[in-house]
Amino acid sequence: MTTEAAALTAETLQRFLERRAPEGAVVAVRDVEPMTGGYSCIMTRFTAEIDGEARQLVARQDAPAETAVLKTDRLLEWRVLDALTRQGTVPMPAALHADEDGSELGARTIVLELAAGGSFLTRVRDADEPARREAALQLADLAAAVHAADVSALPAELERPESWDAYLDGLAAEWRALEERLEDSYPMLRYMAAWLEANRPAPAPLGLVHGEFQPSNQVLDGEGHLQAVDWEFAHVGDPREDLGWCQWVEAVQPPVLIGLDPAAFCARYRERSGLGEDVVNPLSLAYFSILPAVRVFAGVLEGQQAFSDGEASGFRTAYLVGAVATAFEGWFGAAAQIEQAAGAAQEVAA
Amino acid sequence: MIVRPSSRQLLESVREELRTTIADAVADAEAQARLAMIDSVLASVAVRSEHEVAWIREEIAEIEEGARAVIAAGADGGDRVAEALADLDGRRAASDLVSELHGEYDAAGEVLSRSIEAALPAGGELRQRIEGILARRLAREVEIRGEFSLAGRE
Repeated sequence: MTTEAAALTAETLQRFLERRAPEGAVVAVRDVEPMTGGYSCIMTRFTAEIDGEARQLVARQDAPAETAVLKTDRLLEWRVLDALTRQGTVPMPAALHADEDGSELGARTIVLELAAGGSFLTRVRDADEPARREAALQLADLAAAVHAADVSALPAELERPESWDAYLDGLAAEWRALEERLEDSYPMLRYMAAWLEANRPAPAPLGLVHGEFQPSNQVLDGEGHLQAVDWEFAHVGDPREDLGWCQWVEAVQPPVLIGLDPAAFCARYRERSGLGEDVVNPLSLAYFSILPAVRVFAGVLEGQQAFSDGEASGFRTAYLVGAVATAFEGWFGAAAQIEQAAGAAQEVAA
Repeated sequence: MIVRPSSRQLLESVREELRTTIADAVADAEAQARLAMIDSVLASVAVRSEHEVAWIREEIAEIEEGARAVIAAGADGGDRVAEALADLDGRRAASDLVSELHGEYDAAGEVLSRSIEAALPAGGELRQRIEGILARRLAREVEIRGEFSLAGRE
């Protein structure tokens, strides 16, 4: 078994697909091209022709350990994707095959359909404001569809929290645990841990959470409908994690979509999900723009520690120091915004 | 030691060269994304090279004052802030060598963390004072970072 990525070639991909094609099928692979992006894995697009029928596919493959900015479990991701593909209710490119131990393609790899409509981020970057407002509503629709997935059909390895309170306790504890694991002190992490515990919002039903729900992880199908990709952080949790995370990412990776009208976004999500205004509102989104970020930033900060200690060399790790400062700025600002709004509400009530 | 042009000026000249000469010659999208990342890192290093030692010294002094205010206000239950201050005293840098200063700064970070944990529940002016230290630390982190937009994700 290996977790080191080797450059994928048409020949290796063809052999891989031949083993999974119906007996006697003629398989040909061409147009193998690397894709940009991917902080934890290497993405390669290619065309596979099976008995004359051409399909555009993409391979998501573990990056070499020394250069991966984020380390995630490709095997669990495959099992989630496989379950969701079978379920058929979540808009996403179908997951087709996996090299579960890396013995065939040089590293653990998932092969999926390539969405025909391309990148959602590219489309919204060039869009005018009315189109971006509409795009935010599409995001709300996609999020509600993701969160409506049948959790009982997901792989058993995916942890099911005992309760919402236990889940939030655990997430808040992750902030302190992360700071303890890191060699350097991070007062911002300790501040946020204390603040998050003291400012908990109303509970929501737990469900499937994408975990990195953002325009760069969304694509368009051939008919222009949104689909979610890159499920490596998928878990069972509070659905507002995706909404808050998406809003936070807008600050790092414009354009702003949800932030144009957070109230309208929340209203659309409530309409699609059936959740109430006490649960989904701009302030609860702001809270969840902070709380779950620890999961992604744990990988980033631990990667930076390894970099500082000379145990990792990836250039993207150096680059992401700026993303950490941006995260700190966003969390601190969101916490202040929530407290100001809560204070104003108390004054009105008095 | 040749100190002029400054480190910041030298780094800015590299950024300028990358932007005006190298970037135009690069057609590959991944390489262009890497150039944007390189520019971002160089911009940060340019600011750090100018201010790092001074800012660390200033911040440590401010953290110590804040911690003493927490203790004076009777908010240091369990003496956790006082313990961290004592640890800081034992980790003073012998010089302004950045690698030595980092150890002292790290100890000061723990003092700030414990001051935060004491001041948040206390509320009022004490909380504002300690949050102000954290806010100024953040402002410098943001100044070092400069403009930031995640490059290379499509």
